[in-house]
Parts: sequence; C-alpha cells; structure tokens
Amino acid sequence: MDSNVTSSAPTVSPQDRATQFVPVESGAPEADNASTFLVAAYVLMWLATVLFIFQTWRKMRGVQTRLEELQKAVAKLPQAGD
Amino acid sequence: MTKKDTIFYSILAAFAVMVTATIWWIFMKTPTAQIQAGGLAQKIFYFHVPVANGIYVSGGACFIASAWYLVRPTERINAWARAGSDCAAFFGVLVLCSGPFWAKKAWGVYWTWDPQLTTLLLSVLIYFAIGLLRAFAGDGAAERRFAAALGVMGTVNLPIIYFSVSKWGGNHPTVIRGDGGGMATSMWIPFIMGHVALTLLFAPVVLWLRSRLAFLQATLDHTQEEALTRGVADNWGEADGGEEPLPDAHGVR
Repeated sequence: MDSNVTSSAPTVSPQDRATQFVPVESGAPEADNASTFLVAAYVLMWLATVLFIFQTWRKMRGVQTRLEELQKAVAKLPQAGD
Repeated sequence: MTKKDTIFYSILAAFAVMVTATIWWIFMKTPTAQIQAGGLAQKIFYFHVPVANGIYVSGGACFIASAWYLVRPTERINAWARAGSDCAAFFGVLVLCSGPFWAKKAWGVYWTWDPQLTTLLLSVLIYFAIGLLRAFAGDGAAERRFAAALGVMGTVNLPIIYFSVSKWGGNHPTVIRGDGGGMATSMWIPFIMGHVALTLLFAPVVLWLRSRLAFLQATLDHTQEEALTRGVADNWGEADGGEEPLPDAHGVR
C-alpha cells in the first residue's frame, strides 16, 4: 500500500510558521491515521453487507420451511364439500 | 436448478470475482490522492460512490413498483416495491457507514450538515419509515397503498440529493461532475470496476433476493388464511407432533 502522500510532512515556509495556538474543534485532520479510517470503513461496510445477506437468507429459509409445512397440512385436509 | 436460479448464481459469481478484483486493484494499483482529499482514506471513494448509486437503483425500483402497484396492485409488484425500499435503506446505511470515515480525514469531522449529506439522511429515513410501516402496521390493502404512496413520494428526494451539490454547494467533492477537475486514468479504473461490482451486479442481486423474500412472505400469509378458514388451526400442531400453535397472518403466535 502506498502511503507516501499521507506520511510525508507538509511543506511549510518560515512565513507560514505558527505565531499562536488556536484550539481546533474535533482535532486537526493531520493527526488522524488515514489507514485506520480506511480499514474501519471497509470492515463496517462489508460487515453490514454480510449481516444483511445472512438475515435475508435466514428469513427466506424460515418462511420457505413454514410454507412447505403449512401446504402439506392443507393438502391433507379433505376438499371443501367432500 | 431452474433457469432463474442459474442466472442468479451466475450474477452472484460475477459479483464475487469483480469485487475481489476491485479490492485488489484499489489497494495494489491505485495511487493515493492528495492529503486535502483525504490521502489514503480517499480510497473509500471507490466503494462509497457505487453504493450511493445503489440507492438510486433501489429507489428507482421502489418508485416504479410503487407507482405500478397504485395503478394495478398485484402480489408480485408489491414484493418489488417492498424490496426497493428495503434495499435503498440498506445501501443508505452502507453510504453512512463509509462516508464519515473519509469525511473525518478530508474535512476533520465525521458529520457536517452539508446539503448532500442532509438530503441523503432524509432519504434513508424515509426508506426506513416505509420498512417500519410495512413491518408494524400490518399488510392490509390500505397499508400497502400507503407504503406505495410513500415510496413514490420518498423517491422524489433522490434527484434532490444528486443536484444539491451544484445547487447549494457544501463540502462534497465535485470531481467527476459539472466543472470538476476529473481524476487520473488509474483512478477511473477502480471507480468503474466498483460500479460494475456493486451498482450493476450486487444491487440487482439483493433486490431480487428481497423481492423473493417479500413474495414468499405474502404467499405464507395467504396460505395461513386459507388454512384458518379450512380448520387447519385445530390440528396442525398435533399433525406435526408438536404443541406449536398456528401463527396468525403477521407471524404472531
């Protein structure tokens, strides 16, 4: 993985040097580790996908089993008017 | 295996191959973007945008099926309307799972009331509302019509999401639309691969799965009603050798 861009220090000229410290809301973005965010986003996204597919598959299996049982029970009954 | 099953599994296999290739390409071949765009975290973009477009595909399916249901109600169309709203909510969750991490790196915050984020959140809430309505208000004709009307009205918000960036500005990148500066060819490749995998292959697969589930659920409800009228409720549990009572039309025992 190429992380040169994120790890390299920004070019700062002497004119750009800090003359005061100002509190930044939610922290400075430079302090955050990009790879952690990348991994977190991918893990969360694929976890949600797997859960959704699994839940759909499980529900479908449950409904299918129930339907087959019920259809068998209905088929055993004498037809109306017999 | 029926012809439909063969098509379904073929698409599923193509999705698996494509998604693996996309992930490999993103991490092995695609260069990192500038730090202002999020640096390494910008690689979230290659899946974030395709799943966002999954909302448009699912929302579009919800809109067409809901409008169709209002004109000519059938069980199959109702199942597609239900699947559309379910999948739109699901893709919305994926966008909301991935976007904040990229935003934190690029903008310094996980969330901001940017026009595109706000309108997207509104759409996801509408699709969740349709799901909750269908789950808890019953499955009668009136509830189905109400859910279908909500599906039609809710989808009106989708173009607003898309055009909110050009109309109201905000923080969202405008790289590939309008007067955006575009991106390198090496970045277009995983972007297109991500769209093929998630928008063209995965979105139809989940839509089909959910519509099948909704249709089976409706068939079960009808069979249960038929069973109740024919007196299966009295002896079904015993015939199965269990004590389990027959569930009602909403699965309540």
